[in-house]
Amino acid sequence: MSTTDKALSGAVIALNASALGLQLLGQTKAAEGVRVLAAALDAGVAIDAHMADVAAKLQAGSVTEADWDDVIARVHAASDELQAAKATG
Amino acid sequence: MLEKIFLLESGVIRGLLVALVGLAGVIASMFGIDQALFNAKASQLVDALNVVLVAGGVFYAGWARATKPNPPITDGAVAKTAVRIGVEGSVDQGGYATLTLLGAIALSAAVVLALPGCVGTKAAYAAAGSPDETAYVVAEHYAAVVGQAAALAKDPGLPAAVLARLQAADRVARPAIDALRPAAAAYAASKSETDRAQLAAKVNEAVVKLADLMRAVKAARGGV
Repeated sequence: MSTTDKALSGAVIALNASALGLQLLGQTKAAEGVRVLAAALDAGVAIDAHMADVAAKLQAGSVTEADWDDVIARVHAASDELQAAKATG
Repeated sequence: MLEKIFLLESGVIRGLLVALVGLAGVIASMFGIDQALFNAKASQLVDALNVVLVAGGVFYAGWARATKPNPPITDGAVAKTAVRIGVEGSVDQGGYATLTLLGAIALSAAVVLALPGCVGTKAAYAAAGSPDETAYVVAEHYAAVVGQAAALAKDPGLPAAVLARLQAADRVARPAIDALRPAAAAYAASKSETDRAQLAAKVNEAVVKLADLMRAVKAARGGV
């Protein structure tokens, strides 16, 4: 985990802790807002960490057929899962 | 007559001090100090302990502030509290950090921290040494984003319109992502200008569709 990722993870923890504090103080709407912010930041951290791994892979060597097989399989699996989802809300 | 208490008698301050110890550990960890002192597994445990200290300290401070008496701890606070007691009988409380201020601080911190947050993404695109590698990076980027879209779609509270937008963005983008691999292979085999131009067009198209899905994910996250 890079220094930036650690800092961002710390920010996610701090935001969630702030949300908890606001919740304890009875500020539920503000707590929900901070929680959404934390979730968005957390998602950004996850994508950035994944892309950092991709950068490391490229620096270590060129892209192989197996790499393409793997990424396309992951795209198809996630895409199929998304398309199969049914709205319940 | 109000009397101040000793700083360390305040539950809020005690909680914040514990959080500060954990935070110092997290900061030390950023500079690799824990990795220099401990092996990898112990370093992870130290990181986890620091996170528990920060979370526990902040939680306790919030709990203490919400449920326990909060006597002043400085002479200035004593004076201001005395004035408040005199005037607050019939007016709203004041003199405290407002929710707007706290929200602005949280938002500013998130924006400042998020600005360098795309370091890994920038590094991946920068590490691509050829057009076919750039195509691979776009595919990896799409895999990460569509994975998050699929995770969001599992939320039972997600509105139907938001889910439909996610699905539509993915339906349009998937063929563009699928088209990257053959175009990259064709260019890698021939290295011709024609294939390079065709691959560049495919990459551009995929990036536009990827951006559409990212916007849909962002909107979905805001609405959840």
